[in-house]
Amino acid sequence: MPASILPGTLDLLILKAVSLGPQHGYGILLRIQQTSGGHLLIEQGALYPALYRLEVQGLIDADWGVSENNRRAKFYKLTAAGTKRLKKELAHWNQFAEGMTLALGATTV
Amino acid sequence: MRIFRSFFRRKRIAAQMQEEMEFHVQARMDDLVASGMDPREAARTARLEFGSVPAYREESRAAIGYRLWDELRSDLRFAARGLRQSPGFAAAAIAILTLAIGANGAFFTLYSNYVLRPLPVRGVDRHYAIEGYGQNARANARFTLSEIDAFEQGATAELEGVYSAGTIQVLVVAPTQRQSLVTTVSGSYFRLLGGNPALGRTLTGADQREPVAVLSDSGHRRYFPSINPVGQRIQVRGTLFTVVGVMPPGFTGIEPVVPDFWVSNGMRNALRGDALDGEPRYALFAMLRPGIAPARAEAAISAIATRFARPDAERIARLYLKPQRTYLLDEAELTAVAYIVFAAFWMVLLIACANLANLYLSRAASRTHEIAMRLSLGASRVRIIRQLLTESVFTASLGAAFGCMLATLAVNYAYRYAVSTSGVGGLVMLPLVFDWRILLYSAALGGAAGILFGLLPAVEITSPSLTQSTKREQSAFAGRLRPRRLRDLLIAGQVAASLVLLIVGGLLIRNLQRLNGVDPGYDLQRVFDLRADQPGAALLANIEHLPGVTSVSSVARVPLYGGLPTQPALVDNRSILLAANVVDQAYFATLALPVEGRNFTIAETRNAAKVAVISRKTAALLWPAGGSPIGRTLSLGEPAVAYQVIGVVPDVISGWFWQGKDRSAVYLPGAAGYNESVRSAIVRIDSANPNEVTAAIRRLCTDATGCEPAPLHEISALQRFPFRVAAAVAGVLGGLALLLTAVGLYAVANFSVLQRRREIGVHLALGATPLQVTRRILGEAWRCVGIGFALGLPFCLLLSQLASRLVVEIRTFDPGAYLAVPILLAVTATIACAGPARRAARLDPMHSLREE
Repeated sequence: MPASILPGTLDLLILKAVSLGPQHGYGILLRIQQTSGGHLLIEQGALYPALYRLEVQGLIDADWGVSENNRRAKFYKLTAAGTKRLKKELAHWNQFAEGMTLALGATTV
Repeated sequence: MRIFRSFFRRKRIAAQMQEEMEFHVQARMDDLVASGMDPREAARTARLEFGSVPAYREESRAAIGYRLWDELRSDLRFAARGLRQSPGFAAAAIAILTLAIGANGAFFTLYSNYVLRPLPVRGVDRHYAIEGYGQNARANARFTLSEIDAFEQGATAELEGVYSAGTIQVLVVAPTQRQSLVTTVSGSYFRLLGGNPALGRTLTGADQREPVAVLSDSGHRRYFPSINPVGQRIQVRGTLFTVVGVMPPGFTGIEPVVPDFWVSNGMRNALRGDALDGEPRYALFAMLRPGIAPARAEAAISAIATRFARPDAERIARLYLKPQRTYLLDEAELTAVAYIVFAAFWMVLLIACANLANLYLSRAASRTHEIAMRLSLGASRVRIIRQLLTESVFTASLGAAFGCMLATLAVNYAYRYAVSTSGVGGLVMLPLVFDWRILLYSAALGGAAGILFGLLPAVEITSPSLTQSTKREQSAFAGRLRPRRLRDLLIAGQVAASLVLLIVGGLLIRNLQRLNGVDPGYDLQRVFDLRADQPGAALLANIEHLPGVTSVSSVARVPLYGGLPTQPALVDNRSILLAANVVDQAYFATLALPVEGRNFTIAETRNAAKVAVISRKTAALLWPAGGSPIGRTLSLGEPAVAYQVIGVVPDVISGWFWQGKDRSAVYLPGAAGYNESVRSAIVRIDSANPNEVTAAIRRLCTDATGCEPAPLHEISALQRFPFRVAAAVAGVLGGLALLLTAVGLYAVANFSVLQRRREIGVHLALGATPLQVTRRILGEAWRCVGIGFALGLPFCLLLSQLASRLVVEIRTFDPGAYLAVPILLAVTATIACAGPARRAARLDPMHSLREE
């Protein structure tokens, strides 16, 4: 059973997925599912408000292109600001995850 | 334009969002089908997995900041619904705003037309007035014809040219006898201003001494309505001007009044013979060449002006170029006055806003329940405040729209009325133009007003203290609403503002009365200006023999046509400027002034003897040490001529009423037919029926070139005109303020009685008499009024101190105004609250207690 993602982590997941190469919304979803080994559950529609928010913030850029099955689709790619933000967020996440793991794995004080 | 673009962009983005999400669902469906699902099942699953498309679309729109737009639309719908639900309330609010914004818009229409709208001439951004200053920063900006030539020839690189123009009122004799406005211009006037004639030609430099005229469009319609006027003649005094051209309606010169025709500067003396000896001087305007910086042009003309051969007292130190792009120069004094007037009009709007804030507070109090409910259901406070504000701004916009309409109607009516009663005959004012500036201004006022009167009630009603419980009881003693104190304060503010407006209005009216009562030193009803065309000695003698005519005097400058021309004088080696007039021996008798010493003899007036009669103030000015001035000498004019003082007369007002009696007046002898400058006459009529006498005079004049005797009273009315306008405007504003305050007081008293039915019922049930209840309600109103007085009075005193600095002859403290206005306000308050108070007193205690 895949787990629901933590609130606030969707943006990071999107940034990471987009950093692997330009992709449309559905592709980003598939990519996250694939790279997480199917462990994460994302509400599909919720992807879009997040995408628009990131676009307005200038972290990702969008362009209309043609999908693999020849339909018009909106492709997102990482901007320079997005790259920087991703780096920062990753560092932050790693620290957080490490801390969480340590704290929850503790057996004695 | 930008609004349209963003509107279309919004549509496009919405479509793209839809497409993108559809693509997602479609792609998911394809994948499911590819993995072996039944297509119908796949479509259902894909939609289910995605979730609600509209909901996510909404969320996406919010993410890119379109939420404000969307909410605004729903707020507007909400506001419109609110207004429809209580049409009476909406109508009252809109009516109040219409009045307040309409008054503001009307004033702004005038301001915009005169101060903001560019002049209708070519190259208006290169158009400058030349201002000069001599020693001691004395304004000195008039130039002789030869000096004007020097400018034109000496600064060709900087200036396209200079021109002069001055408008005067003259009596046209033929083709029809009437008062007319004529602008005298230099030869460069039409060329520089880009005036092209509709018929014939314009005036050029070659016409300087030629009796030719160019008609304006209105002059054409007035004098030669049905014929081509070119070649026709217009007679002014003894001169026949030949019409050489007609200007199109669009060319009206640089003044807001349209002259009937234009003639050359050189012909000015033929129009009006009030010039004393000496070369005439003209105010100048300059048209800079394109791309020339004003500073450079200033330096060039200043260099020329400092070389003018002038007496030391009139030497020019420096010239300035003042941009003149509108009818009125944007001068500090004008700006100060305009600010004061704007402040007065804004005050009316403020009163209206306070009023509406009150109404909204009252209404909001009955909506606390609804709002508390919405807050508890999760609406944010900011969101509700915004919704309430949208409603008030929407109402204000409607008020602004109606106000705009009211303004156009009112201002044109008032303007025409003012012009028709100004006492200036034959005045053609430019029609007021209603343009985008006025729309913008009204819209801005509407928006500001909406926020102003909406914000306070909105913040107040959503405040947590009021809405903690959704089950808030409207009970008698728990009902001590904070809005009530706020309402009292608002009312007090209104009273204060009305007080200020009314007192200022009262002061203006009192000053007008005072001006009406100022004694000029002679009888305005009995002394008549003959207004004849250079009357000859024979005509004057004939008039003198008419029954009812006591005395006739020929004079260079009839009193009350502005300040007497000044001349440099030299007395005991002191240089001083003195005002001078040339009169004959009958002048003092005509004005009924006793002469100390002796009067001129007829012989002296005929040969312009070197003797002078001076006013008392002049004597004190020249010989402050005292002693009789009779027999002493003073030198006058350029070159200086010595005159012996033979008589002293009392001070009179020869110039402007508001400047009071002449600071100096030197009367020199001269007589019609013997002295070039003596071209006018005054007549004293002592008769029970002056109209008969003037009719007889008119008949006598028809043999000559016509005349239009008018009592000096009429001329003085012209001088009082600006004061009358100011008093009328202040009166209207004060009345409006009073009305609004009365409405506000009534609304508050009424509401407070309604809300406190139970409290009052308890009072009555416990034995309070109706009189006590009435007194209590009225007492509350009086308290508001009292606070208003305390706030307003100091402000009044401050304001009148400021005003007294602007207009010297204004008396700023008038016990009448300071006493009458508070009484008026207190009485108004009592009347406004009498109804609600009576209703409170008549409450049936049992009934009101059983309610709810």
